[in-house]
Amino acid sequence: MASILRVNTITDASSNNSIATSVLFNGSAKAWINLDGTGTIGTNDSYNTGSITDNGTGDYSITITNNMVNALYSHTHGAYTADNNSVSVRGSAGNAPAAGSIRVQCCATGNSPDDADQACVTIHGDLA
Amino acid sequence: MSTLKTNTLTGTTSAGSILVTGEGGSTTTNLQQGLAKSWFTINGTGTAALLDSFNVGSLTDDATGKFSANLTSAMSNFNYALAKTHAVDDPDGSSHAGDNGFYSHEGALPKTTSVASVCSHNGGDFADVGYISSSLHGDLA
Repeated sequence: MASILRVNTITDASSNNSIATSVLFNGSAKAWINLDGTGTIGTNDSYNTGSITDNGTGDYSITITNNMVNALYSHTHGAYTADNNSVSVRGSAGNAPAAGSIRVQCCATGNSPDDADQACVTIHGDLA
Repeated sequence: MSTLKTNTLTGTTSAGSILVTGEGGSTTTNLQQGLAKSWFTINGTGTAALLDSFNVGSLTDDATGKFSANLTSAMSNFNYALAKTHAVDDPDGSSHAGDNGFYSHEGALPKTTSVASVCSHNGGDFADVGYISSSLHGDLA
């Protein structure tokens, strides 16, 4: 049987390191993904993301399973390629984030599109 | 107002899964999955140093623009979500704003016990930069 604990603040047993449950909720990432963008793309690991779409070289769309309340969430990125080609991830130009999805682009040095071995996106904000 | 005093929170149905309800009273998010398992800020200039961190035991200056943050508690696999960024200004006040772009990226396959950070100019040259930041979300071992 599931149990619910209603509490405003959590502290350690010494009454240190207190944190409000509101901070706990707001500070938690609401979704994250590590996807393999090479070949047939796939999800390596994730939380609260659904399907992913390969839109082209280095261009990926990610759906969010439980939507965000709006598109104003924080999204941060990271990437890795085995060829050490300085790949980075950014929001997709002309494709603003949406409450239920986000589109990102991976680029190598010089801004050329590049498929990443690992493309990562982390989202903080409010769930719908 | 109520306060819970405890050193450890453990789920009842699944020890590693606790839901937290938001202010709206209906939406929930998974506490363990939402928490960053590690974060750090590095000053990569001069003698590289950790400025602040969580779950990082030490920092290795691998080469110009290349650093490894060694995790205290390892991740269960290297498929964690990594986020990286950096400032254009260094702690000593010098600025890289005129360098027209930096990349913060991986220089080596992510490991369960360490995170490699690489910073390079837009043209590809590696560079030491202050305030290199990173966070990890995923599963602890």
